[in-house]
Amino acid sequence: MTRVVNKWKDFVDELLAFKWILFGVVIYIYGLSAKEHMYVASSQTKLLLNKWDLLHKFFGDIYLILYFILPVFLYRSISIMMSDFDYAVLIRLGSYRSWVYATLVRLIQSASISIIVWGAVSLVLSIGAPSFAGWSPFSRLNASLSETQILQKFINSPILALVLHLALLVFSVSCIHLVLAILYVKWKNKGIVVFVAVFIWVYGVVSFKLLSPHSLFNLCHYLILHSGAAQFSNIWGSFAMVIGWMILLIWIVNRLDLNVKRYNGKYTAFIVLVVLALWSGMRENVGQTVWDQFLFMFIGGSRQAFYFKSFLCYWVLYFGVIYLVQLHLQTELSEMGYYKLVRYQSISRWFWAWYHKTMLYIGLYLFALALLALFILSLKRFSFDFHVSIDRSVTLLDMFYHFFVNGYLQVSFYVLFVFLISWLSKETFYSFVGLAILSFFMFPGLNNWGIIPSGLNSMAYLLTNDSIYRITIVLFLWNVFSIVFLLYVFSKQDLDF
Amino acid sequence: MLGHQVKVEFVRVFTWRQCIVWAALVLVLPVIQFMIIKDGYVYYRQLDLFLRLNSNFVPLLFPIIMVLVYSISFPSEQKNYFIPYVRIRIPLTTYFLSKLIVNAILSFLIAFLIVFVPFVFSMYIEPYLGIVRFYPTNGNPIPYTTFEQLLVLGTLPYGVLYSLWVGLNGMMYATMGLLLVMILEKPFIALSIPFVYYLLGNFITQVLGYDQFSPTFTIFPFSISQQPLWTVFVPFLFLCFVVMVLMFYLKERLHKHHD
Repeated sequence: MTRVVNKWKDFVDELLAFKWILFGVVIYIYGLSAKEHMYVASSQTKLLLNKWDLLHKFFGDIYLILYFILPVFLYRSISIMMSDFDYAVLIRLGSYRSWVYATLVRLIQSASISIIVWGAVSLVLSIGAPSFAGWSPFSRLNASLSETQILQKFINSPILALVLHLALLVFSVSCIHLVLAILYVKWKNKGIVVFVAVFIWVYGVVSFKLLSPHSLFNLCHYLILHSGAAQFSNIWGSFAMVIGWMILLIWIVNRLDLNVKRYNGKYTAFIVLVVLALWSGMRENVGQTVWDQFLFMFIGGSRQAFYFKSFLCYWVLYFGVIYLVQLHLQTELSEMGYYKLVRYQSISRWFWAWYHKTMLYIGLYLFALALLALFILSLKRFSFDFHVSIDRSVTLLDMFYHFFVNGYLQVSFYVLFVFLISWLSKETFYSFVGLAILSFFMFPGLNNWGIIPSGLNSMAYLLTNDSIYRITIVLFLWNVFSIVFLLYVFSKQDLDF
Repeated sequence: MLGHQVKVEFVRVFTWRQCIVWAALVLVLPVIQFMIIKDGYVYYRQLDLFLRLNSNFVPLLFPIIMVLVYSISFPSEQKNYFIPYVRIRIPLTTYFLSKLIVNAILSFLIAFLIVFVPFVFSMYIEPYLGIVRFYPTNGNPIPYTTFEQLLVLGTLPYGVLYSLWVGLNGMMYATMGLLLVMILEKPFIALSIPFVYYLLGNFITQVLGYDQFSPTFTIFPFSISQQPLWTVFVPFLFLCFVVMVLMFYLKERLHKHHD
């Protein structure tokens, strides 16, 4: 019981502390000018306002929040972290995770006190205005002069709007605090945290001042409800974004104490790049059906049509995966030793095992690529009619045949090519150079007979008058040729039994 | 000591074999490009020929060429445990720094020549040979490119300044490659990162629609309309920043790692 009383006593003590009085005074001074502004707006429109308009104004003014409340909260967040990061406290709490949550609780306490002060000052300021009675006639005006005029369009009850607004503010401030706390726990460096906090504030001001009001990167949309409502045309958009961030941050906080092996970002980076490549491959104003766009996503280049952007996309989609194969191959080759050879009995058996595994993954990759492309396309409104509208002579069967069969053979050749050069030069980097040079044969004028196996699986070949079955034969012969050559090299090296 | 070591490195690297490799790096790609483009394109000015010579191969392979100049020889020293024996004779910092200096000078020269040789050829030699046919403009608009703002200084200063710019960029990519080899000690990843950086820089700027800041177009502005000169410094400064960070990282880690 005494503990509870003590807690309340602390709370009241803090409430009466000098800093909160100062806080209240600043809001009061600001509120006086804001109030006058509101009365002027009301008399100009000749519509009556009431206390709700004033309260929403005092609580939701962008300038007040951005230039005063946000810095105060950021300062509070950092000061709590600095004072609480102490070995005695850490030992009592037992883990970094609970420490982060403990500081968050303290910040929310602090925030609720400031909201109480803020509310008290606002109530004092609104003395004399017409009483609370739903949305006022002024706020029903179809304009965006005041906070209430925006919010009134989306929500029926003014008090609910105010509660939601404060909830959003507290949520976003908690998110910012979690970011800072995670950084502090990770690096234990004051400088970084202060820098990030200042950066967040400057970013907030700059994004408000310089970006267009309808930019998604404007920080105000996620701090202030009416700003977010104007951006997303509903009140839940900002909440969804902030709560999404919150979940991500909580996930990170819960992993703070785990001894996670240094996460290797290469697959994530690769997936992001693939999605970017597929997304940028769409040409929305040219084709209507999903299959048109599918064709454009993998268009690459042929000897007749060549675009630098498509070429780069092809690089990312196909040579990107070969790069991953090279990374794998490099470790595989550097771990190569007699023991491994003894286990596999011969070098060619080892090679076949590696090749089979790699090609299985390549097949899965092609399937995943096709599914991902279709998924991305389904997000846009293209028709799912089963034909290619840009060129009626191309059937869907041709397209899939070209994508899967020729694609598989082409990538298989790249794999063999890379292996061959790495094996002969003992240095995987030369295979990278070789691959870059090979990719040049996709340029117009260098592959006039279509016999050099470089980018032959580009969808652009469907639109020219090349036969895709001829391409299959060419690629197949190249594959056979390189395997035979490889086996010859193995037998020459006298490692084969 | 550093000056002496740089001299030693130079003496070590100047072999006949290496000189032939450098000559090949400078000459082969422009010659192939010239063979491909000498017919079938319409040229209005000698400069158009020069710009066309600088398209396709060199722009795409640029970081790889720069890495092949000198950095490629370093991994073999790591692989064959040469470094631990070097330490007995010379401070590691001096040794690595001398390598970096030699690498910077050589890659700068090669990058400079890769552009300057085609420049001299197309502006001063080709007019006497008359291999390429030039057409009158007939009122067609001439496609101006970035850096042609420098033409007011005269043709040769333009060529020299532009080649210096390419040389500087080449130096940065080569330094990045060598630093990464020293840091990561995995030659394949380290040497391929400059190229991956360059390619992804192009890809991302293309996808987002900021072509004027793409690494390729700010060095080889052939395929983009004329941009203000300041744009070229944006990717360059970013590259410098990356190289600086790597440099500091290496400095921090060097002794920790080799002790």
